[in-house]
Amino acid sequence: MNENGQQQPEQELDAPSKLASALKHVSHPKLFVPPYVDAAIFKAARQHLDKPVKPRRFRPWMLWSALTAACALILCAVRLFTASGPSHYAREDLNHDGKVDILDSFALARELKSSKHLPAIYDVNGDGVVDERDVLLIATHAVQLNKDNGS
Amino acid sequence: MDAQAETNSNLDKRTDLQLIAAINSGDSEAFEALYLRYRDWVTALAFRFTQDNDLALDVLQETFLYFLKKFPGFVLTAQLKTFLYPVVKNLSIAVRRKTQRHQSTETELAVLEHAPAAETAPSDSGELTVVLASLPAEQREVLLLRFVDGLSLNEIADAMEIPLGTVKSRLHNALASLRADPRTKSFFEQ
Repeated sequence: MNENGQQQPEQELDAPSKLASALKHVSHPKLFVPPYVDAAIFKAARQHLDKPVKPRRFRPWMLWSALTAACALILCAVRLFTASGPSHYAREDLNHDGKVDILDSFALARELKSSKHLPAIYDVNGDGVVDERDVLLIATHAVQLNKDNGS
Repeated sequence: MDAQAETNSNLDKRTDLQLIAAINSGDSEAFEALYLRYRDWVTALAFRFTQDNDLALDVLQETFLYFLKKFPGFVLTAQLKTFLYPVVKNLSIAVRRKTQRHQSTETELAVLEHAPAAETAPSDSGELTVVLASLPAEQREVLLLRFVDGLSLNEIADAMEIPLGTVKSRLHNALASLRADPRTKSFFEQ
């Protein structure tokens, strides 16, 4: 199809061989390419393509990064296990207010009154039973602490 | 080295696709073989645009340095001439612009392309040159790409980024002009 939408017969697009030959003569002269031109291209190709593979070098910053990451991991693990494991509150600090005082004793006494079967964490004296003796121990501990603090 | 390199190129039976695959793998000798395969064509094409031997050699180098930077990762989707043609043309325009220090239009370049041919051309080609110069630039370009550079019609369409129908139309009109001109109609006579 031409620009006017008409089909171009293929034979009209052929050229006689002598025309093609003449066209090559006028438009395709054989030019001399000096060897230095070839050499420049070859050199550029070798430089661009034959690049040596750089060995992986250990860099100091990699070590520091690895150590820092390891320390961070260890710290996270420690916090995780210490936070979810046994309470960091004193065993007698039943109300978890950060101090062992008579309020803890009262708290256990109330629990004893309301329930007969209390969990083992309330077994402050470790005798296997949660009873008044645990309440007394806490109260004694609280008084002792107060004495130590000079109150 | 040139003779040896030429020999190596002649012995290299790999196709363009195979050479390009090797170049993508870092084989510089494959690039040398490809360069030698297309060197003369690129030089002649550059001379056609620049009409200057030194400028043609500059364009030759720039063309292949540009081509080299496409590796690794170059993918050949058509004949290599289809890829190289616009590169050579654009570099020729640029190098002439730099040399002449003024804006070089496509028209000027087309006229320069068909200045009187080199001394080695037969004398009866002088009239052909004149008639060629009188053709519209786009018709002349298609004619030469087809019968001098050996590109197919589809490849010409790809290289020039025009529709196939336009290629056919321009080629038809160019041949018709040559056939009708008394100075060149003898080429069409049996």
